[in-house]
Amino acid sequence: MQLEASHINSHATAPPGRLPPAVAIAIAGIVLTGAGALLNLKAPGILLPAAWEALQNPSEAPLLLKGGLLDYLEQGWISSPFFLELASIQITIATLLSLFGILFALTSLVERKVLARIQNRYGPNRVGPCGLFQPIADGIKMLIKEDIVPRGADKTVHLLAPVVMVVPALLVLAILPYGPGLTPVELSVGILFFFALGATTEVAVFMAGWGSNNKYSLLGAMRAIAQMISYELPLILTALAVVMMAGSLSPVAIVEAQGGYSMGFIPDWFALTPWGIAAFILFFIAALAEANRSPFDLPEGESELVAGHLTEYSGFKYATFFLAEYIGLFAICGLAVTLFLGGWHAPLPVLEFIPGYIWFFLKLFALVLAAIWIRGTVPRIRTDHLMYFAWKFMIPAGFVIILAAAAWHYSGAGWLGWIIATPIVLLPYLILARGLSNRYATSGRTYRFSEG
Amino acid sequence: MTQLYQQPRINGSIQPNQEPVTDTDMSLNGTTKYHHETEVSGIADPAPANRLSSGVPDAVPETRLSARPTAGEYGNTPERRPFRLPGSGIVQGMMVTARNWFGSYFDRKRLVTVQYPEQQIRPPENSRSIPFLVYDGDDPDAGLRCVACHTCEKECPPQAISIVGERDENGKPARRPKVFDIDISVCMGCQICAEVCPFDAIKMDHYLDHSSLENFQSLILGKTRLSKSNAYFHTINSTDATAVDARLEADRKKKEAARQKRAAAK
Repeated sequence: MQLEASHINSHATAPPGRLPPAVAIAIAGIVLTGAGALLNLKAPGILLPAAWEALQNPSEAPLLLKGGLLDYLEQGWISSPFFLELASIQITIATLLSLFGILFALTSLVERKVLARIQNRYGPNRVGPCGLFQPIADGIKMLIKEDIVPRGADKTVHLLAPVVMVVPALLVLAILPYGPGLTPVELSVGILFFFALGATTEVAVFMAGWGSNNKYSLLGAMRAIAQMISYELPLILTALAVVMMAGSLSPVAIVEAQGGYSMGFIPDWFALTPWGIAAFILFFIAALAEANRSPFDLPEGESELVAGHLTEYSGFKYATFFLAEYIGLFAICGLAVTLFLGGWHAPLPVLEFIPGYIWFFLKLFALVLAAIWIRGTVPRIRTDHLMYFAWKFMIPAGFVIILAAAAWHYSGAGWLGWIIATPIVLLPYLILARGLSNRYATSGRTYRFSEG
Repeated sequence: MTQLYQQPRINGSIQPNQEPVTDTDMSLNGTTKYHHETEVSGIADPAPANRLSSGVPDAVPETRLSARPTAGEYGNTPERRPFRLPGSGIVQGMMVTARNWFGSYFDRKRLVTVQYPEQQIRPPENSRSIPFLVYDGDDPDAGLRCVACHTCEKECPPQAISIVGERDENGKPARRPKVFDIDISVCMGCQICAEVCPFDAIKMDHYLDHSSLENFQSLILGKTRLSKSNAYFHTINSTDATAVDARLEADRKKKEAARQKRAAAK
């Protein structure tokens, strides 16, 4: 229906003006820098062969590219070995940050798209083709918003909370093995490092809740801390089973322990053992709770707490929290991939020609998609149910999994292991579930006046 | 229906495929619910088929009956459910969402949303946004039905309308508005102006895109922007427009007849 369309178009678009000076200066700067890099005649001679070699050998590509870049820096720019070492670290950090930044932007779009499809909608489709530029629009919106600090807020704590939140989320990315030889920091106690740093997130959440001087923030933060501490236990218990089986706290060793295929095609991932599948499910549930994802998103339950500890945050600080939450989700999904899904190993021997880092990120993205799927399916659970679930179901189940892992190990990790370990996992599961649900069963209600 | 639910001791026969999936918790609370052993089944239980046939209208759907909890006396009664594997409710729910997730890529009819500015649904005839002034014929000035009687101005609850009547050179009211402004930032679309208008001159519009870059003056719509032809009124609400036309035509004929009668009497 075209009704009175002439009325709206009375505001004609402004005539295309000249290039703004700031943009012109920026373009000139980029062009001059590029020309300068090219005029330094060593650059093409070093970088192009490295790129060509990387193309021919994709599984080694990241290392080859980094090596080429370092060679270039060594010959053209940096002479001191100390600064060269620093540059090497910087290249790794920049790669990780940009990679996970892109993944964050992509996920924020994919999440909205998938949720929309689950609800039979299109999702964002206005900005760019298929809404692809929506994250950019979101980012610009976040950046140009006013940053409001409440008058009664503890300004230092309020300012520091997003920083304290995002730093550990980024730091834990360092220990994940992204591919063979692609572990930024090969810590022998990587798993311990991951959980230790992951636990500092709680401090940030409480800083946000306390510093905001808002009752909803404080309540949300207290809920969040109760939840995170409760769910850290099953998270660590299930990871402990893996550590026992691999005999190491190093993520690299854990991934290497999952290499190979039984019967020629079934990968030796921990998730494909009777104790491992249970541990993986428990770990994933606890990971959702750790990352404050639905159905455990009580800290931000908007129906009762406005936005929890994020209530008083706006603009870039809010965006930082948002970023930290997503990076935290990626990190914990990456750890789940490392612990249970064989890290960078291919699922089938014939697929091994695809580089390991691609497998790692495919598995990571599959887990993120599963988290989004769960968010589109289940509603938020109640606080007391959340606590009961953690302390009365997840933690006993975690201990049972350790038992089952031991049984699996001592019965030879074969068919005998399946026969022994499966009931060790299944029976307590049924007993726990039946016993707990019996006690807290709610009864149906008959309404006197509102129905009939 | 009321009688039905007041029957004592109905043994609700919950069929597994009909029971609602209610619980979200993984396994603590409810995917397995146990009824107490003192179940009412032994006491008085006409079969569900009997229940339906005994004086209850057929229109009551079976699902509605069987989905409700066992109704005993008023108050809470335990619910009877078969044992299900804990967590299976979640899996069921995930399947439902997966069907919706992927289904829309194959069947576009699933996507119920309308892409608004490009596609527009014709609103129902009686929908309303803000009022507009109807004019007959082609000339918005001459054909305007409004006679500046100020009725709508006085009735308007948020006082969004302001009217200044036109006067002729002798200072007598000319029975048409000089100014007819509606502040659409104030108008709440209550349709009272259209209800009270004795001349069917003001009607409710369907047009919704009122956004403008300026907050104040451009939201006060004047006579020229409010005037729309009777033909337009027919396109948005032909039922009312036809009825109004018939009424006005009858009025006109009655007046004509009366004038002729008066002329004949003279």
